[in-house]
Amino acid sequence: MDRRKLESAALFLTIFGALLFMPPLTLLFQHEQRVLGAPIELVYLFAAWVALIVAARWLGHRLPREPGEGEPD
Amino acid sequence: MPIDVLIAEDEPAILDSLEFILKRAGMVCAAVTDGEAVVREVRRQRPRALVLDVMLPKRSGFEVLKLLRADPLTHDLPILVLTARGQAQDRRNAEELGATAFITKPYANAEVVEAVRLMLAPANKG
Amino acid sequence: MLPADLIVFTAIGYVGLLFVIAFLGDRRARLGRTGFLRSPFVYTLAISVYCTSWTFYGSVGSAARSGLEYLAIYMGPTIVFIGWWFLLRRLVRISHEQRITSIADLLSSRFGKSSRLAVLVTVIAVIGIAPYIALQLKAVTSSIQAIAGASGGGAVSSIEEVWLALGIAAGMAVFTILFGTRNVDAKEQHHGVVAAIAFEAIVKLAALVAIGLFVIAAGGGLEQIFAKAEAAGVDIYTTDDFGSRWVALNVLSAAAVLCLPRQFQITVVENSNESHLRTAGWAFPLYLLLMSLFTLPIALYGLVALPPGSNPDMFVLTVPLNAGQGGLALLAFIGGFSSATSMIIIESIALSIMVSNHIVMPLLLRATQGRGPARGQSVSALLLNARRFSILLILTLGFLYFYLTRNSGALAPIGLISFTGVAQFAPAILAALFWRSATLKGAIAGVSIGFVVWAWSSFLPSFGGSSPEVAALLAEGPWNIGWLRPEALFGLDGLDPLVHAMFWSLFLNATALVGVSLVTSQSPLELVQASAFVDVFRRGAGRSLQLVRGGATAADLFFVVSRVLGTDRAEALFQAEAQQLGVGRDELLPSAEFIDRLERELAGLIGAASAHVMLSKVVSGDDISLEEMMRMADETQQAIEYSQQLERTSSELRSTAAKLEAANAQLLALDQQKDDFLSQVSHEVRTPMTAIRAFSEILREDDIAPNDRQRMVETIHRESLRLTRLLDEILDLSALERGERSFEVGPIDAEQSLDSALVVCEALARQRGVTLRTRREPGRAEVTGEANRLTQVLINLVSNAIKYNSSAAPWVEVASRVVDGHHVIEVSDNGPGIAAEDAGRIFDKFYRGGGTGSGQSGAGLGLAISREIIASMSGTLSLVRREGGASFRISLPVAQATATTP
Repeated sequence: MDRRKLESAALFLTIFGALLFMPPLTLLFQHEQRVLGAPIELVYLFAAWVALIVAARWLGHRLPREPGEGEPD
Repeated sequence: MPIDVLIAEDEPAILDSLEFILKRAGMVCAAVTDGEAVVREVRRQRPRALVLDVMLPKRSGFEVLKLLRADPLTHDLPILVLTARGQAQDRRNAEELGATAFITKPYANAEVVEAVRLMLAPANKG
Repeated sequence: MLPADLIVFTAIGYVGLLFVIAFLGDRRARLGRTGFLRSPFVYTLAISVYCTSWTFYGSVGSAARSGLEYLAIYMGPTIVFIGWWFLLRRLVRISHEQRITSIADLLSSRFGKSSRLAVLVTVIAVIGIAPYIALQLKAVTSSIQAIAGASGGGAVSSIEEVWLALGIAAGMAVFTILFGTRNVDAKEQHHGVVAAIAFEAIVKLAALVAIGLFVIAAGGGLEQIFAKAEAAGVDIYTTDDFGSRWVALNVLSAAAVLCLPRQFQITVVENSNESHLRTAGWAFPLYLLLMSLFTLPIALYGLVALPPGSNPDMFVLTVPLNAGQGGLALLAFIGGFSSATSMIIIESIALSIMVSNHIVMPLLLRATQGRGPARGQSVSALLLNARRFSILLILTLGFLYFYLTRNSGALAPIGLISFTGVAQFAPAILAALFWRSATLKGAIAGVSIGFVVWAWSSFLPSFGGSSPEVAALLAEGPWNIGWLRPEALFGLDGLDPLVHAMFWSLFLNATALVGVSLVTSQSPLELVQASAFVDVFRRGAGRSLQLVRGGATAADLFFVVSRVLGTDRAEALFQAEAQQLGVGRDELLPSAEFIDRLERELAGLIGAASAHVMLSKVVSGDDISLEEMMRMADETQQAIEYSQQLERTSSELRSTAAKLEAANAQLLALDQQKDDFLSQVSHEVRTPMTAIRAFSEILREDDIAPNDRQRMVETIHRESLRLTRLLDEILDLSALERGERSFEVGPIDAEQSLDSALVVCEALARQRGVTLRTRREPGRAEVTGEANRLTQVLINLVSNAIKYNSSAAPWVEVASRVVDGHHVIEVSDNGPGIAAEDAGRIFDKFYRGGGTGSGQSGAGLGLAISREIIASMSGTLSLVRREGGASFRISLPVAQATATTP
């Protein structure tokens, strides 16, 4: 992906991530059902969380480096 | 008749006075009142010297100066720059851009006449 | 069983271990071996100071009481870190460039280095954090009591709660002072402390995971835990999880992870490398996830396994104690203790930097009339003492809060009071980073109002449990004014108190910030800083572009470099470069690498930031001229020489020179504004003077033809009138600005003034070929004013509209009508309109749209004077449309409206 697309992806990930944790999406999972032994809403929140972390990890080192940022490690 | 001096000045009163003193000193003058006209008329009329005000409409005197110096046709044209802002900054700008002489307004008439005469002098010899 | 006294010794031993880590960390840093200290993972672990004993103990309590709500506290920060590219990266870059040391420093710097704002932010932070410190004291106190209660013996169990808390507060104060104030670093970075905090982050995570695994094992697996809890009558599907409180907690925690002084300290100030954010962006959310993974299982297991009535805030400790797992309980205690100590250390270091830099030092300088400390005292010793005093103050406030609210219950609600308090900085921070037009007055208004509303609706009610007066206030409102009740402001009743406090405080805060910013303007320094903040990345990009093009000449560079390094050293550098490239010294074209090398050479003497600024000015040749550059360089040189005379150490010398250079750059910016003004006045005066002088010189001679003579005398007369008019206008404007009015106001007919103005302007319109239309609704309106002055304003507006209309079929329309008790006159045209960047300033003195203003006859005072005149008639003059032609509106209150004649 080029620089612009990566930046757009980062913005999308942020907004999308915020929406994942908010009603009305969360309300979809608010019913009495258990997945893997735990209430489905709990499992949903943790799954979304993991997905965001993985996406951020993927994106983090691909976003362009600006002059003045400092040496990568 | 070939032109000695082209005067570029947008203030009518100042233009009037410049034309008067330069004509009385025996020079053939023409006048323009904006920056675009200067470039056009210099190329058309080929004056031997240019008196150039800095604060001109459409193109500032400095832009005109830059353009004329970049053009091989007008590269050697003697140019006297006039400014009412009177800052060291303007003087250095003018010198860096290749002005032949620089005078701050208000000036003594003799000062301007002398400067223009000097600019025309080398050509007279040749 | 676990003897309670052992706990105390364990705590002291643990603190000793932290000391060793911090000491070794600082030593490594001093030796320059910062390798692992500066790794992105140490940075990320240090950011985890976000997880305090609120997380460690309080989350389980919160989960036991109100279900999934505890998770919201980690969702907000997760989103902020996932979006690091947009917010944190900007914050870190700006703070490095501007050498920001705290959140107060950040806001003050953006809003024109205002000390008022810095003091305000500091005071609010200190008050706002007190509940949070109290929370830690309460958690540690409760944990020691829980162990003492379980073991039922030892000296500790006989101590009263308050004395125990006081002892802990005192211990923490001593510890933090020893820990955080050993030295003062210009960049306010504390490598040793950060290493210790990172270690603590591992300890608390390990402890919580260990308890979690124990619970899973003891409870027979995850599924069993949930099943048993359900069977025991615990509602594991809490139904109201995602209401307004959930959203509010997400917003608050997102704001807190930026605004908490300790988070700002670690994330921004202690950041040694911007690229660490790339790791923290995903690793910190991962840490948060691991910390909250076992929260709900522990809570549910505790609810089932422990006797009813046990404090759920202490489940992390009481669950292993109850199972007879002394070692695990000890680990849990250390984990909780770790969370509390790391929070208190970093929070008080961050707050003490703010208190000492923004309150104590300015007071000290004022007391010594700016001469600084007396002989024999060094600045750094004074700073350190100020910091120590601040730490004591902060912990005292925390203890006081604990003491006054000791009857209140759970941990989490106390923390949320602090979150709401510091969240009041969030609107100002966002505005600082993204909104160029935010003004100092707007920021002060927003933060102040937010703070007052927070104090009233969140902070004050927390004393309700211990003070009958406060309880009465909550129920009745002050003086029985119902709509001022702290938890039901303006009659907004029935809302969750947290949502209520958050909504009103942030809503009014942001409204005041935006509203006041829109009606006030920025000082020159604010303008400079606003652009430094908002354009932080744009500037960087521009510079590198220039570098690639090789935009600087060798001569320019040599001037600047030789001013700082001396001619010999500079000449040597340039010779070497020329030799290496195999060209003559005079043919040298500076390459990007060469410029970088020069920058590093300069940085060795005047600091990296200043060196960068100096070179980028020559290289890109932007706003500051070469002359000013040389002045800057000269003054830097003088600053260095002066410093050398003082025989300071080289590091002090460097920071002094850098500070002087920074101050000088600001002065230059101010100077530039003043210069522009004077240069305008000079130009306006010199132009008529030139004609007058030229013609009077000519007239002194005898041989002038009579008609020439006549023309010249007329010109002189006309030009001297112009000069007089200019001086009159300047005097008029300055009198109007001082609030003096040189004319009498009385009832006048505004339409009549408009008639007179139109008569004058019609001639001009005809001459310029502009169609002048009127759209006047019949009727007369009397306003209070002065007829000639109103005419003057109208002529100014209409003639401007005519003169500057460059449209192919130009028209100007004058409309008048009476609306809502105001007589409104609008002058519109189809000219070029007003550029967005000019719109805010067209009423400024000498401000003429479109840059040079060449060829325009006015001096640029007309609109400034017009606005003042209308204001003195109690009316307003404003620009109501700027695109597709401009439109100005005069609105004057009607004194006595006559009935419309049909």
